[in-house]
Amino acid sequence: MTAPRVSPVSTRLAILAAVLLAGWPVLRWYGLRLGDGSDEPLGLLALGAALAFAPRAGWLEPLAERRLHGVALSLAAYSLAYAFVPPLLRAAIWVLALACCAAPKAALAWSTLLALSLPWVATVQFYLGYPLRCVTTLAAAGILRLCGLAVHAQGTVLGWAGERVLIDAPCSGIQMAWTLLAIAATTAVARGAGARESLRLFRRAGTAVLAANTVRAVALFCVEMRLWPVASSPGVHDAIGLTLFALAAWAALDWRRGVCATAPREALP
Amino acid sequence: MKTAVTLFWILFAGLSAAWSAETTSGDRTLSPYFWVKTTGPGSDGPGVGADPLPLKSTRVEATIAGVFADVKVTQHYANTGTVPLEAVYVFPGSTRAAVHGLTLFVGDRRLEAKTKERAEARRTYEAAKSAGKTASLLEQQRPNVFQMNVANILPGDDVSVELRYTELLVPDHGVYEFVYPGVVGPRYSNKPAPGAPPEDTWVQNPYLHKGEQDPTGYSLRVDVAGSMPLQDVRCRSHAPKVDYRGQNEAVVSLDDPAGANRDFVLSYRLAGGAIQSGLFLGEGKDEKFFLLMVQPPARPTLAQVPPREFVFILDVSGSMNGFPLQTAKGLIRELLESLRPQDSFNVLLFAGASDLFSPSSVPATPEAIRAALQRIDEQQGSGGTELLPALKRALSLPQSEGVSRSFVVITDGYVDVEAESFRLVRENAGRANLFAFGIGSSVNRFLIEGLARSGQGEPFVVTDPEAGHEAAGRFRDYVSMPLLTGVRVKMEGFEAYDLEPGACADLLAERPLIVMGKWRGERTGHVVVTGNTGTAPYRSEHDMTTATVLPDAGGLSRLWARARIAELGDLEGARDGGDQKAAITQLGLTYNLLTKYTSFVAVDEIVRRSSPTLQTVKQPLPLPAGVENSAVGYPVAAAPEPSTVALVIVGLIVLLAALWRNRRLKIQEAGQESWGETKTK
Repeated sequence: MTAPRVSPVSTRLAILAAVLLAGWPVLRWYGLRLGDGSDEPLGLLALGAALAFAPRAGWLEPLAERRLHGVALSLAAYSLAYAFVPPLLRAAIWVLALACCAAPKAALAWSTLLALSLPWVATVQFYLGYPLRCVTTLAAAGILRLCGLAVHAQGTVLGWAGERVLIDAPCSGIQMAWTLLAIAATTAVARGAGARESLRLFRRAGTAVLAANTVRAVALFCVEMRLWPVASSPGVHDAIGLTLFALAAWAALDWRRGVCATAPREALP
Repeated sequence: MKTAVTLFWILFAGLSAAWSAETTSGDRTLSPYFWVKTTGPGSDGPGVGADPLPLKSTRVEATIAGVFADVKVTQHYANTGTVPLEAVYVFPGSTRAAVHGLTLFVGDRRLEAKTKERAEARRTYEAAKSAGKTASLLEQQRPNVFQMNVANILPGDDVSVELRYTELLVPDHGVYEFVYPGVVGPRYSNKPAPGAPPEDTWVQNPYLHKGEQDPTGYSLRVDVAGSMPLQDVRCRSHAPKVDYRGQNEAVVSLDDPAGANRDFVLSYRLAGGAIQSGLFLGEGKDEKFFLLMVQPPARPTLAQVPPREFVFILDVSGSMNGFPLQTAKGLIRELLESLRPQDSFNVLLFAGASDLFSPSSVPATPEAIRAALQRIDEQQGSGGTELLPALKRALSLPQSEGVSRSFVVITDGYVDVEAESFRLVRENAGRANLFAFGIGSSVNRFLIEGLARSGQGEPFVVTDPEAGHEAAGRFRDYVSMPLLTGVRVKMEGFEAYDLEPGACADLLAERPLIVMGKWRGERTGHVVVTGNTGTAPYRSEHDMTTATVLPDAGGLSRLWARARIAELGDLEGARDGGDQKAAITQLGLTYNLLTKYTSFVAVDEIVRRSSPTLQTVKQPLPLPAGVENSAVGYPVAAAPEPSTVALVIVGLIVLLAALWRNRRLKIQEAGQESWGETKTK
């Protein structure tokens, strides 16, 4: 018995080619953004990881109907929004179409990885940086007050005894969040994690990063105010930041309870 | 775990809400800022087409005759931009200056300013400004800080403003000193900017960064004429040209644009260290004035001084960073090391908060002095300048019986709470004396002198590191034994009234006793000064018939009014001092003086501006020499994240560690399972 003949137009490869063709303005913009210095080109790491875990087989098979609908809807949204939304959001919609036709079985995690390859950090820093810094400042002030210090938070400044420590733009925790999400997504893809498991992992990563960034602000405040017998220097700042990030990463990627300790539960689409 | 994560997100949401509530209540405070040469709407800099530096030069001409200095300051404004300007310039003055005249020159027109009540003068100026007339307004923000506004300087205009003041030179140790303050130092203020009183808003002034060249021209000429041959004519602050025009006369000149960032300090002696003392009279049309200067007696030999207690109050704020703090450290070291074991001391360091060396004063043992010096040496100079809480804390320290207490405040005085400080000291110093050391190239002399006056002590100003040693020596002399106590001044044979000061304080420094007042009647009788030198009674008589009659009575009248205004101003700061506003205003209007409540306003009646646009430009000031940028905006500590590359590396290491741990656990589990199966078998 011979397998039913597949129309070349309905193969994954053909649809992928069509999506890539539709997204050439996005690809061009992406290339320009990588080189203009406005963002660290670290998205390439996420892109590399996404390509490494892209499916190697089944490209000549037809795309599942559910995914085909996803591609069609995403491309329709992309076409309609093209004239109205900024390039980054346009790219995000197009990435959704790409993910629908090319994602492996860990679709959510792979799509996240692909999305993280976009130059998000500077934009997120611009729009979400200040609220995140304010939250970090307030949380750090609360912790310090619990320790008996009359610290007050004003905007993104921690004040104590006439001295001030500023939770400025590079203190928002967005870089830490991006890195941990990228690692978590890579891990989830590598382990073939399903949507629920991936979401659980991302939630844990986000929570761990927020907590680590607050503790980091508290620790650096103590260093700057000489409450710790450690002289303030960039090296000390980095050491504290990296140690807390390592703890956050460990908490998020905890093997015994985390997504990677369990077998993949969800079948291929 | 799930519960913990949920709780965390709830906390996150709560904090976000709290943040929203908190950020709406935040207020900006009045504070100086760095000048940024930006243009355009919304920027702090001047608008498009505006000349960012309208003040082109300042020319100072002083004539010193005996103990009187008449000073003329000419500010030259020009507009090289394309839009009409209003220039605002904050500049310093001598704390003893009686500013009595202002003239506005617009082209070839000369307009004499009128003295008006402050609010009225401001209204006149604003009306002229709106009407397109060139006008100038001179206001006193502090007795040593003035603000000049010049409105409607049209493109291509050259406008000059000339102000005149008289000052009394008081010799110290036989040395006469003429000081022309160069720049107003940046003031620390914690007052909220919204709703700040108009006399405080000048604090929000732009400053050039340290080392940034101030393009404004600065030149100075001082003609000195003494009653005796001049000696040791020198300038410690600058390198002027000194040209002797005879034994009794010298002309000192300076042309140095870079010299405006510090006080110009010219000193000289009269031959043999004599001072010009005696009785001076000025007979005006309506009133007659006198000025008595009495040379102090020689300091007695120190026989026995009771145990003394010194409380040092040291400013370690951002503006003291660098030379001022280093000089202060050296000064305290010298003072502490000169103490005897029976003396005691304490040290209070203050910036945004204060740090007390010991809960109560400790005996001046070598160990205690070493420990205190170590604490002082650790200071780097950073943070705000919360002077009032520090003074309050120091003044409330417990005092031992039978001990002579002295407070020593060391600061550059870059605060805006002068009146409050004077009141605090006056009401709390008790029997103690307060000495104030101002350290810096352009200190706030108003604060330093006012603090010392309020605390019945003496002011010291140290403008360079070398002067610190000399000041420490003088301080030791002062606190060891006063020169004259129980001073009384009596008029015999003529009627005198409105004496200034009302009561004479003990004479600590080797500078003359000065009494001013009005008198009536014929020129007969004499003034008698009595007191106690510590070893013997003191008496000196000054005959009216042999007094020096000054040709211009206006000088004496203005100096008397200035002294009276200063005393009323001090009383105004006192809690029970009442409202002295009416009296000060009246004096200002009667004697044509610039005061807190009277201003000078000059208006050119020709409407010169037709365009609706008028840009207001605040003239940026140079930072006083030796003052670090930290005085304006000290670097705030931050907590930046590590670089993303480092984060990626660490993340991957954690991932590998987790993988390795997972593998080990699986091997262990497999081992346990196979052991269990073997055991079952």
